[in-house]
Amino acid sequence: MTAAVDIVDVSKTFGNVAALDQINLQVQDNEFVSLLGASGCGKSTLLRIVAGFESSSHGKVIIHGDDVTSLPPHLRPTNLVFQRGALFPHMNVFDNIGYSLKLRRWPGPRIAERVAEMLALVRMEGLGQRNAAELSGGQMQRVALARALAAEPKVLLLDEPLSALDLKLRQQMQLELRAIQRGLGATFIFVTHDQTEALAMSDRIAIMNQGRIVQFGTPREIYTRPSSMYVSDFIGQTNFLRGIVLSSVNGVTTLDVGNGKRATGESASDLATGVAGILSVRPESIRIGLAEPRADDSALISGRVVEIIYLGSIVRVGSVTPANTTIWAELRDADARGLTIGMEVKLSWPPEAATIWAGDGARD
Amino acid sequence: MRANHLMARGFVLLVLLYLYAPILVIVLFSFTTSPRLGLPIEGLSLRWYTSALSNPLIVGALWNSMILAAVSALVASVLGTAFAFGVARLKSPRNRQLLLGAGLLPAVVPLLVIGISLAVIFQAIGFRQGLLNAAVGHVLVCLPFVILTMNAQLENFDFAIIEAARDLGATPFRAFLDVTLPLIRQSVIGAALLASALSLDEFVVTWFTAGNQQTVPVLVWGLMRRGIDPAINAIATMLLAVLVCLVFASNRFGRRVAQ
Repeated sequence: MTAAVDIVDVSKTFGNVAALDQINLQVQDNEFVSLLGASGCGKSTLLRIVAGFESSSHGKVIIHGDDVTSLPPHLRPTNLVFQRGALFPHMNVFDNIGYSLKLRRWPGPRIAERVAEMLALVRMEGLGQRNAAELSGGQMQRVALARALAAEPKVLLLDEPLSALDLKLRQQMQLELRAIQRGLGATFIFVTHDQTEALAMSDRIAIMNQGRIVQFGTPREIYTRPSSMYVSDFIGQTNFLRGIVLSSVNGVTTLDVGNGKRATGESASDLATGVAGILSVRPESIRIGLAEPRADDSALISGRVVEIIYLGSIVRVGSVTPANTTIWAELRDADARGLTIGMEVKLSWPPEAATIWAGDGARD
Repeated sequence: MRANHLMARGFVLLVLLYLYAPILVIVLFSFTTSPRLGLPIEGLSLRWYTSALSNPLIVGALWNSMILAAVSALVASVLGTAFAFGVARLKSPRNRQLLLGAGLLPAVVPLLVIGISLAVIFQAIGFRQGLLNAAVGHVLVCLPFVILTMNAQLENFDFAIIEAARDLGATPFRAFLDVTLPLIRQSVIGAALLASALSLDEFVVTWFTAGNQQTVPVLVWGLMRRGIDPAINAIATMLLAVLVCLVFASNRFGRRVAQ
């Protein structure tokens, strides 16, 4: 099956700076893919190359089997939802949404029908005559979405369309956007710097850093099996422990993390004994106990509680290890009762909850 | 406290008097009945207006001035808008500042220098002095001001909407017609009116380039050398009225756009 979008070896340089470095990415039909990364990682540039607003220095963009690399934006089967809507301020909502159809010389009644359909899709029925300049932020993005979808793109591109909205509205729009995408069976490529947004909406996420895709996978794969320290740190919160590899067999690796303590986790491949390794474990996987931990727990690190933050549904507990690393744990309220600051505790986690890579923790 | 307040008022009045007395005097004298310039005036009439408008020299100069104003408005607004657009789209703020500065610099070059340079250049390439040369000069003088106003307008212009039009299937030309033009039209008209006002008022560069063609300011200057003809007051008052209208209109149009 050909991919909906096939990005082949795309590079982009501005002067001597490589904004994109040999990007390869395949997006399947009906798939919701997010490009996620910090600002300046190249995600918007990549999206604009797919839309045709930037040219790549090297590589190809193929959409449903057609090479569109040299096509200008108005001839590409893609449409873009811009960050702040970019509605035509001198037109009303109806004319904004119908613009692409007017360009295609659709007859008036057919345009009206399609616009009404789009307005219903974004739940703005009856607001067609509203002036574009009078809309609220959420309405603007709805109209921008309707305008882009009215053109019947093979692939819809979204450039941080929710970033200007406040949190409540953003969460609501995330759900609506996802429902619309599922309902239409459309292919969406969504650029965001918000990891929660990407996790909540995507079928797959491409994490970008410094012009490269550092990991491409489902939200669960990325959260539970980050391929690098960068991804692990970027997505969600995590604890890092540095150590020396004691053993590594069948992807299960044990580190000596100092003071004779051992920590076990999974690694993508077996590591050589004696090299430096780094372990990442999520706060919600950590158990804190006063008693001895379970026999199958991989690590038993002692710590002293230095911080207890009550957040309602969870309690965040910070403990300092003898090696002077602060380990954060997230516990349910019931599990955190009885903990007080200054208390000596044991920290542990199941081995499959930890990921280990070779390296000394210098940023990759 | 009260004395201070009075003094402040008095000061403001004095400054206003200083600013407007000469203008008021010329407007007043343009309506007097007697050719003698002195107060109190003896009566009001429109005879100097009739006399001015029946003088073929003056009518010719008015005609030339209007042609130059129209050409300046058209050419300077198109060139200046295109330039300001190009500058606003530059990514690097440093290059933007640099090019904008270069576009504005001629506004502070002494008009005398511009006038002489143009005269020398036209002489060198064998252009006979005349209206065409004056038009080139007027456009040059107006351009920095058009660039300045258009740049201020384009600073908050969202270029993403042009991209949106392209993305939805518009060719570059169609996107310009459907989106860019309707949004900047008012600003461009404002800038064009400003250019025509500047052109109507222009003397130095015109004097060096127009040869034996007369514009209103050049003609007035010539008439003044032969003593003050009250018809000059009438011309000045008409010029004043037109300029005030143009500048007001320019402001109104310019302000309405910024999206």
